[in-house]
Amino acid sequence: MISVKNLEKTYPGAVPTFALRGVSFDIKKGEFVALMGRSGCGKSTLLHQLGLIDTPTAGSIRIGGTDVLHLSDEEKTQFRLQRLGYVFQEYALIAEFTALENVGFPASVLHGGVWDKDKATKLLGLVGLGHRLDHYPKELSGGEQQRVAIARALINDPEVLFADEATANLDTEASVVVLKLFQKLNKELEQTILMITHEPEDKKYVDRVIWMKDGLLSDSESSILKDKEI
Amino acid sequence: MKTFRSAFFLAYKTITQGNKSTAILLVCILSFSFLNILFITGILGGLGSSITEGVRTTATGDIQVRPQEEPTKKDFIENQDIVRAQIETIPGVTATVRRYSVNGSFAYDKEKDGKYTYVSANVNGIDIDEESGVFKTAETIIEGRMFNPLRKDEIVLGSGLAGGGSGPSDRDLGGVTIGDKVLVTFSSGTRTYTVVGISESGLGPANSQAFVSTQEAESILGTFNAASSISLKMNEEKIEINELRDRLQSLFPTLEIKSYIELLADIGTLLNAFNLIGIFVSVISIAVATVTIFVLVYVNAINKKRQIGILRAIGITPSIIVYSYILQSLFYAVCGIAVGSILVFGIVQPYLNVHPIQLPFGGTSLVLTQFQISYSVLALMIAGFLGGLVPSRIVTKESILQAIWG
Repeated sequence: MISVKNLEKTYPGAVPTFALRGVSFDIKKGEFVALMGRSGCGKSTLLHQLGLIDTPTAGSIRIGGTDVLHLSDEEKTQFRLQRLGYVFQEYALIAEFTALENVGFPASVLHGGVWDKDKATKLLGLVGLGHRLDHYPKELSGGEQQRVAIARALINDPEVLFADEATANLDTEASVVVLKLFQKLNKELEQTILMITHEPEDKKYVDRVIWMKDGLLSDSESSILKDKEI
Repeated sequence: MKTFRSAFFLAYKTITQGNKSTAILLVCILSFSFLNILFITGILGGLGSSITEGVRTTATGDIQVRPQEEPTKKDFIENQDIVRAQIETIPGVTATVRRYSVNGSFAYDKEKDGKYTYVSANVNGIDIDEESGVFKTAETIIEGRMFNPLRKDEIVLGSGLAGGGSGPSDRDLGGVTIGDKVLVTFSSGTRTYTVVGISESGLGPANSQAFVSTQEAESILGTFNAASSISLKMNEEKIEINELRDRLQSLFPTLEIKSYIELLADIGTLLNAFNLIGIFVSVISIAVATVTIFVLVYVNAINKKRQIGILRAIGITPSIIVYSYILQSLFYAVCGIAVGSILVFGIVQPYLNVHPIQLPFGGTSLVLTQFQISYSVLALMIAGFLGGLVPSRIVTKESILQAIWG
């Protein structure tokens, strides 16, 4: 599903920052993978490259057979809309839209302004918010907003769902709800998910962990644990 | 069209659920900009219109016929009755009137103490029965009455000549009242008149004249059945003014025939200056409106930069975001135009129609042409379009990560 080869990202400056130093890995269809490592190791940078919201300095990324780095800006936008789902750390909802509108909007854009309210309603039901359809983000808790964001990420049936520390701003109870939701989506819908997390206990929800250290993939958790910080 | 539908929805939700204070502020600024554009151009238009109308209805008529200038200058049009009869046979001419014009030196002893005030002024000899077909002279009487055409010793003074309105002036008689006697010296001698009326027209210079009967003017000038000028009124639906002038000129090749537009040539420079001032003020108003919309939309877009970044990250095209901002700005521009129109046509114009602004040229209210209104609407719509387009383009040009992180 995802094939990354020798991915590099360097931020130019007086002292260039080598955020990714040649990362290679594969993720199979239907896998639920966690991306873990200490702060500043390059996890978010890697996810930004995979989510096509940043451009790597070198390397290649194939998602669902498409060499995404060779797409034009317009094609990347279309690819993000149609084939990728992205959940941000903060509840990135449109304040002026209801929960239903937040979820349904990307689908209406994809289908030329035609709304599929049933599908949006169904997805909100799936994330446990079937009773909050007409509520605006300010009327929802942080956990509820994040679940709306997850439903929005799923509305166009993405091939991959990226979650960038989606539970970082949630309390333990809300985090568990979101993680179980990811697990459910993975098991029941065979949704491929790549999730960044800092929490060691989140490992129990995923099929596999990709460890990162200093812009590179690490062989195992042990080498990172030596630093006593994840 | 598909992009437009999504942009429309985004704009609709942002307007209905967005910050009401910003929306009200934007509409207020735009409506006052619209009011400003229309008010300045309307007042200047009104000024031009009142000058033109004043000249037409008190001095020239639509077309004025004067005695021949070349090869020999003559003082009068002879056999005015025949000339007017011929003019009146032309289709489209609705009325004609003749006037005598003679210069006189006025003397007025206000305090009856032998100290006279002297002022030179033009005296018009008019036939009050025929006058109303072309001019509004009778309607300009503000005090007293029009002279009796059978009385040769009665005179009507213009308010500017009678004076007494706004303090002493060396161009008026210092406050002549009804019943007072004035002495007028002509080249043929001095005559005494009783002032029976004071007239005041919208046109300032017309108020510095006096009116006597045709018979009295003929007596002063020692002539009969002649005219210093013949003015005519026409129906513009039946004949175009230049066409009528040309026909008259071919009919009377020796007479000097000019339309009121040609006679206004000197004032035309002033009217052109008004137009220039109007355009200048309009351009400044539109520039201020554009910059204001730009600043407000830009601040709004900057505040929503993270949301814009997220929209782009989830695959919403920049064009949808830009269109939505343009639609919002256009919506506010339409609201501004609507509120501005209510202010202009519902409050300012009706008020000024009842209470015209008094200027030396006469009373002025708002006179707006269809073109000026359309131009102002279009200008504000363009201001709205640019005010929405430019800031949203700037914000959507940023990289997605920069937009999200700020």
